[in-house]
Amino acid sequence: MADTSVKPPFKITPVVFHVLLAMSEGDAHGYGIMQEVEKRTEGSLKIGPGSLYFTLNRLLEVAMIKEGAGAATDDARRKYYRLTEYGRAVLESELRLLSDIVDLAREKAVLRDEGVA
Amino acid sequence: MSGSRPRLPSDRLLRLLLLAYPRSFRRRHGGEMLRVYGELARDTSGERSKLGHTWWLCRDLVSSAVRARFLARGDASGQVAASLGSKDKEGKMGMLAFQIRRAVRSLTRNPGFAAVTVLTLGLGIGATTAIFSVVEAVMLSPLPYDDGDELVWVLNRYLPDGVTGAISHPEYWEFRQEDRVFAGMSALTVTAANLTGFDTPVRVQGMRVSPSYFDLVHARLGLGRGFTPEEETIGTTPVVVISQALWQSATGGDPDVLGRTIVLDGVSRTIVGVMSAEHMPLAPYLFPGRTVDFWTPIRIAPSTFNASSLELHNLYVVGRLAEGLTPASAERAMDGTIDRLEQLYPGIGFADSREVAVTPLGDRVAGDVGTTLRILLAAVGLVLLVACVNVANVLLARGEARMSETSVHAALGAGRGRLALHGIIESVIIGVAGGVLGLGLAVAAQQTLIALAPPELPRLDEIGLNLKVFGFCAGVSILAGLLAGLLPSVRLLRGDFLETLEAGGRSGALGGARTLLKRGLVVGQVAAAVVIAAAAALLGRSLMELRAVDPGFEAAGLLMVDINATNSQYRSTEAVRALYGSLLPQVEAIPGVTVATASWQTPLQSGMSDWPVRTNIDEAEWVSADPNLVTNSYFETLGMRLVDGRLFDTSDLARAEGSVIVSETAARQLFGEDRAVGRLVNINFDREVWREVVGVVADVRARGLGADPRAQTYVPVSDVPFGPNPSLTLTARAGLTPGAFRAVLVEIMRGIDPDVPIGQVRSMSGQVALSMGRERFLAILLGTFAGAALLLGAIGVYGLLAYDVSRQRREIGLRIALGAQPHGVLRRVVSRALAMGAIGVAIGVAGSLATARLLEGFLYGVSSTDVVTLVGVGLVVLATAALASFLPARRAAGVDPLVALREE
Repeated sequence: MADTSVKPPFKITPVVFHVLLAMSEGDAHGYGIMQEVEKRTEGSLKIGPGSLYFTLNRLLEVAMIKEGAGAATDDARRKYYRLTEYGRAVLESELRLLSDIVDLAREKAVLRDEGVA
Repeated sequence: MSGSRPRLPSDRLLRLLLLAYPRSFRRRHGGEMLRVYGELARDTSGERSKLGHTWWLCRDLVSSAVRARFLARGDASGQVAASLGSKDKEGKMGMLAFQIRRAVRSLTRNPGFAAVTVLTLGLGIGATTAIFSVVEAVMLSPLPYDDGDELVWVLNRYLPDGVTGAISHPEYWEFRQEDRVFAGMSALTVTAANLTGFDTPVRVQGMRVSPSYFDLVHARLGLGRGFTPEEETIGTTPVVVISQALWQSATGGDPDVLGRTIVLDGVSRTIVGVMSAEHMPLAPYLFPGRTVDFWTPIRIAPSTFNASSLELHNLYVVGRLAEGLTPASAERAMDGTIDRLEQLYPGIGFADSREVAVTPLGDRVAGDVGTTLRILLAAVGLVLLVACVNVANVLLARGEARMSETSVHAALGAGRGRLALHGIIESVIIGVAGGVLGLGLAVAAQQTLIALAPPELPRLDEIGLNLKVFGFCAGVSILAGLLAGLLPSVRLLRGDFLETLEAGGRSGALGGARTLLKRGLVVGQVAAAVVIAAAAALLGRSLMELRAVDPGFEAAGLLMVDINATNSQYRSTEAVRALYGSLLPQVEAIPGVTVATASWQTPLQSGMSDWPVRTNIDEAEWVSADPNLVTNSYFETLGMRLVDGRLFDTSDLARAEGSVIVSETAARQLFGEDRAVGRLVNINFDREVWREVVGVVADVRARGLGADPRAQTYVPVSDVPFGPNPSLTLTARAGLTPGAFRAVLVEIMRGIDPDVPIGQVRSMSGQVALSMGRERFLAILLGTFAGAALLLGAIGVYGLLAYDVSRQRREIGLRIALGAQPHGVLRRVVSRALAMGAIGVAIGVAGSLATARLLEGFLYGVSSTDVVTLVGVGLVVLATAALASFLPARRAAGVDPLVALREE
């Protein structure tokens, strides 16, 4: 699996991971990302505006995301962000890594599948 | 209505906070971030605990800004290194950045030291900022009206004592002709009415205003119009402008509300306008706590003016100064008006007895709470100073401990200036960190302050975190940091590095001047603590004295509720008499109620009237007195003591000439040593009726527990046709909770007249507590500050002695080796603390005596220079100093000479 992994330019923290994940389904704006992350993690991870834009800034600098356009119905003045190919590759590689870890955990019976006694 | 809006940092404040981020970051994301903050504020208002949310936002902002700056510097670090030593501006900035980084690093390497100093300053800054935010809202911030600083009150100033008061209709009419002095002017009064036509009648508060009012304060109407000049002078069909709140609650926000009517006090009024939500009515500034749900035109008809109109002073007048005029020049310009009034109404001696007073709107708003707030601000400033001294002493001590390190630096060529700068930067960083902590504490304390605030403190809902408060906090933080770092740095500039180096960096070499300086600082702390503690103790004693005062009635178990029978059918005395005739027996029949009464006034309520009274011995001699109109059971209900004669009974109703009961003070002031019962008196509101004094009752402290009792007169309420629509207060001695009492009362009133609303039930004990609100507010806050100052002072004493002992271990060890007893050593340390304490107390007591005058207006039954209190405070402070010295003293006594001497 080492051959398919894309090396991220910096550590993928939970915040970075969830921000990337929130953009995986299409363009998103800042506040939308905040809400999406809070919803997805059921409120256990709340990203403040400062941390959010700090993260977005870093992602922009390494071209993992770029500024995109929102849907026509939305407010045209607000900035939307979208994953670049590179960003998507980093996210996928990260997800694959997580999935491998989960598989490993199941093999070692550290984590049991629900429904399996 | 001025509902409480969520207090969120303003846009401007956020813009300022964004400065924490690197410029490029700000340029790229600033706008978006502001937008997100806005959306967040919109979606979370009221949802979360405000404090927790604000704290989360602050933490997020600070941590991300630091990280962003850290990353940005990572890119630029090469440049900084290259520019070190260069003299251009970039280089200096780089040097400063380097110094700041170094200071932060040295603080984080020493978390205990950082925590103690930041916490000390944070507490001081937090308390100071909290008090400042109150001062800012109440006294400094302009009123929320466009050009609010041009708005002034126009009042009568009575000579010679300079008391100001409301003005009469004819005066207002003349004043407003002065269009060169005033660009606009409006008369106003506050009013209240029963709003009926719904399930339950509601008491609503409002204002009567001139047509010019809406333009004058730039009140924008959401719908419809204000009033026409005809509605002021002629009085056409009754009209009303309603508030947003009333529009929503009474009409459900009906957009076609104009032309519909609402019934106020039994009168149908056509709605001609709906006020916009943004307008803040003037009434709460005039009478704190008032709300405004409706505006009606004030009726001022010059055709009805006569000489007696001049005696009825019931208008408040607000004006807008013409361009270029100040309140003082406006007053001078109004002299001519007084002369004109003199000519219009000759013989009333106008010019000799009064002049026109023009005062800025804000002055009256702040009123005499100004003194309270100034005292608090001074006290909290002292606490902050004490905190600064503590930090300065810690820095001094650390500076000495590091002297050898510093000397090496100096020897290697570091300039003294740079070394001193490092110290200053470090202490400013401590100050700023303390400021961040303090800001959080201040926001938390604001809610407590608002809850504690006395009822007369206006504009409470404007207290919050705004740009000015933030700026103040930032300024105070930096100043506190500078102050704390100044002395240690000066010491560094003057220190003799060579001597330290030669001494091998070892202990012992404590210069006399250095010790003296630190001692002086601690003595100053003790003195400041004494000043604050003395003030707090005096106020505390005064409160105890007030609580012990016999008010002349039994407050416990008394419940009061206003019955406002202002509906139109109660214009006749008979109707009012019938209402209470059926109400009172039913109230007395409530299980748990022993006796009930209705009266015009009750003790300790605000807005007492003064109606002079005279005897037929000397008809020209009027005695100032508080009048009351009461039912027969008033004295029994309040638990008042009869001194002479009898109370009212049913026979008083039938008497043609009328009866009166007077208080002991009234009897003494009217008749001296003679017996009052059986004599005749005339009360000003009675015109020519002479009443017989049937009884004398004990004095009641009706105008405040601390105020000397005034002459009081009691007249049966049923035999005074004192004007239509009386609002009486029902008072009952009841073993019920206010809520239960009100519930029964509502049922009873529904059976008598469903259109008369039942107001809030108050307890007399609550009223008594409220009457001491200002004193309690000051006492609690000063007590807290005194505690803080005492604690900080104790820490100061402790820190200094602990340091001394650790520096003098060898000397102490030597003494013990030479035969000194441990308890003798102990005594030496404690007595050193007591000596510093005693000097501090002496200075503090002198300071208290010098500032005693400030407190005088707040004290009752205790002198502001009370010896017992001052001695008591002095002893407490000395005991605290002794206690603070105990640990260091024990450590000194426990020094093992062998170990101490071997350290050599």
